[in-house]
Amino acid sequence: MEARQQRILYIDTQRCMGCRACETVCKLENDLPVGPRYTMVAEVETGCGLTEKLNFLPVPCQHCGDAPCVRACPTGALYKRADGIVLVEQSKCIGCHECLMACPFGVPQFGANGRMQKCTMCVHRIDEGTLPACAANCPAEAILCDTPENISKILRQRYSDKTVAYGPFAILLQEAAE
Amino acid sequence: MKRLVFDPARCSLCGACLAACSAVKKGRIDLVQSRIRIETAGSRKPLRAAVCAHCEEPACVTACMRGIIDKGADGLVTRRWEECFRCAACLVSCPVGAVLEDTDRKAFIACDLCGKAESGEDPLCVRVCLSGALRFEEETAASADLRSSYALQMFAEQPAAPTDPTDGQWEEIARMIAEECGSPVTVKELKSAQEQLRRDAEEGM
Repeated sequence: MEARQQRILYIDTQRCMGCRACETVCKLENDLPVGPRYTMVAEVETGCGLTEKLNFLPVPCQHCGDAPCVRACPTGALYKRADGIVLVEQSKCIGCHECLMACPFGVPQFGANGRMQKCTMCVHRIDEGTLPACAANCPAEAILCDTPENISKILRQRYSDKTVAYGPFAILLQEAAE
Repeated sequence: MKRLVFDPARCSLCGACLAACSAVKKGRIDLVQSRIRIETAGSRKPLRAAVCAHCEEPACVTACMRGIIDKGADGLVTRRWEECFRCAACLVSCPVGAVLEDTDRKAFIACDLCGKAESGEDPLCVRVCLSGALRFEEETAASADLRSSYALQMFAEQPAAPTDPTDGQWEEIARMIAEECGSPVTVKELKSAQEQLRRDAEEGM
């Protein structure tokens, strides 16, 4: 498969409201015990007074194009599938935590067996032709899973919808307020 | 089990952890004998820390010719170093580059977390790291920390570049090391260790 067909998980932070449905449904879908979290909603407070705001950012695996974890893994347990999904072969993992140190997003997780496990972009669902659990269950449609080209199309559509509904001036005002 | 977690973005390459490690384990400040090393990319940019990760399936345990390296039930990788005959199999096989030769003991050794794995207290190298680059925490906490700091970068301003300890902080570091190992350590010694570390880093060692 061509590299540009790689699917990505896009997070629209303007839409995320911190309901943590993605975290919950991820745990259910992947049958995770206490401890490992394939995705986590991080919270950041910005501004003060009238501009004070709580921001949310779900952090699943970014399935990087040139993944630092794949480069850091000394045993070759981590690999990129032909369609770009970064996966781990647990039988090869020795639990050295190099991937956790290398990952800029802190994605690698370690369960009770001490071996690395991570967000698989719900590879079993992708193979069936459905969306990953987090993207399928996000009530705000803040998590998108598609090729970058299609995501760009969706985002342009969303922007133009807003422009038609509120007018460009209203959007400028809204952005200035933020 | 808690582990040593290193965040290169917060490290100013002050060398306090290396000095503390060698002071505790060797009784003197000797960067070459430190069981933790900070690897740099080119010049002064810290890249990663080479320190025993206490792997789940350690290559050194399999490689050791005498079978004196054990993976304990508590997760700790321990060495009966008295019996080591220095075949260097562990050094060669270690995927993280954490093994070094102890010149006094005539044995290959690695970080043993100063016996703090059970109690969960911070070892000295973590306590002297005032910028918070080196931490002692569970994997889940480390992961949550990294994710939160990534989110912080997304929404708030970029984090400030790490700065060297101030004179007061150097004195505090020296006091902590002296308290732990019983012998006095001067700020001058620490600063010359830092200079040596930076020189080595720039020479690409």
